[in-house]
Amino acid sequence: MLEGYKNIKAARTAYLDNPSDEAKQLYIEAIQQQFAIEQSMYDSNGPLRGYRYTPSTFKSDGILSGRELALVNGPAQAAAASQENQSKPKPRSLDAAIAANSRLIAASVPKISESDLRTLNGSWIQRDPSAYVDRLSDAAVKSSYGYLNVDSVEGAFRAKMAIKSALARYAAGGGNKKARVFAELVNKDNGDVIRMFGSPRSESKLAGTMADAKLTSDALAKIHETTNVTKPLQMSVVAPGTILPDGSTSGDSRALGYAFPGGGGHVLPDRLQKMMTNGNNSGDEYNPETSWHSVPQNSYEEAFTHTVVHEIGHVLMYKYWGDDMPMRRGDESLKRDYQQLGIDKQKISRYGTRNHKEHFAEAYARYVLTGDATAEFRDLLGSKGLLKSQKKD
Amino acid sequence: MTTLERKHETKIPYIIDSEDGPEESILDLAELSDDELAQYIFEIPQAIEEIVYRELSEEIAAQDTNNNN
Repeated sequence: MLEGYKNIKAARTAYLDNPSDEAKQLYIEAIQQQFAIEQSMYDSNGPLRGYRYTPSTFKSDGILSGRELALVNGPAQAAAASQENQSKPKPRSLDAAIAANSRLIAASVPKISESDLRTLNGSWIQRDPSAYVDRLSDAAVKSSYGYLNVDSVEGAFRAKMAIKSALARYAAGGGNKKARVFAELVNKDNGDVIRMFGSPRSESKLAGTMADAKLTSDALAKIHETTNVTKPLQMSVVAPGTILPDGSTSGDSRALGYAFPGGGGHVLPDRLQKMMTNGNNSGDEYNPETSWHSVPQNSYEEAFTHTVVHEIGHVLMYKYWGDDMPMRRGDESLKRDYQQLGIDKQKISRYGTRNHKEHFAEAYARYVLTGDATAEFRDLLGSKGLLKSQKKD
Repeated sequence: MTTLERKHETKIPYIIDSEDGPEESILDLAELSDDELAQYIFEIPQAIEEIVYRELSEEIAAQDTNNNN
């Protein structure tokens, strides 16, 4: 680069010693060659390395006219301005920002192969992740219209602002740096959903294996085979390291599953594995007075299956005795039915003695997995149309 | 100052089944940070409602500030 400046100086001296059009042209060419050298240095290093193109400009030195100076400096300055604009992020519209984060989230979701989906019990497909964002958008707009005028432009705009912000935060992973991405599998025949949670920052993309997805689909199939559940069910397989609703961490916590109104059931395979490895299974012969659970668990598969059906038992309370909403989750209605039918005085397992909700979940699991239930419990299921005999062809 | 009243539930009751027995817990969406709340947008239906509520509340607060200045 210094060579270029030496050439300029030499050409300038030559012109001043012997002014001529030819000497001036050589001087101009020396300047233009210097700009070309600086441009090539920018092209080599590029904006990715933080190199910004700031070409030297030559002020009038009594040799070049204003017009000649502009002709020399102009192309270099135009190139610099163009590169400056390219390195700046282009402003995006709100819709484009939402779409960009949606794509980022979708790219993080593992793709489950057709052959793996065929291993599941039933006809399952993987839902396109963009559908998650569409559902979210619909819910946000509906919520926004609830506060503002229906169909207002302001309402739709505010909803989009909320979605944009939420998606960006979701994609960034939140405070614990683990985005709760999931593969959503849907049963084409009955609308049941299995969510396989994972994290793009974990070593394994998905929480559980396809074996866990198969166990889940088997359990759901067993539920539909033995009882007349007509409302779609949702079961999530939770990733290790997930922060649970009570603030504990999956894997460290001793939680095996959980459920909440509107959110379906959840099973934690990593904790179930630890429980079986530690020998904390309840594999003794069933006795409603002394057995921990209503169905013996002699293997990981039996423990997993029982947990799924137990959690779905809680979900059925939310859906059939309530409206699947936090304040109308059905526990009081179920309690009244328990008292009226005298089930509150029946034993099912030690786990089921805590309250009527756990008793129901345990009794439901026993009924689905073994066919065993008291007449009163069958009447309870029948009161909500849940008996297999009540299935309409 | 104008305040917006929520039209959704923020207290989400959970039933947690553990090796030691069942527990019941409540997750209060109103107490979560924006980052924490965003992680539940695809799981808890009320999460996006809370986010919309916060967006609208911020807008109202900004308008109040402008009107008072």
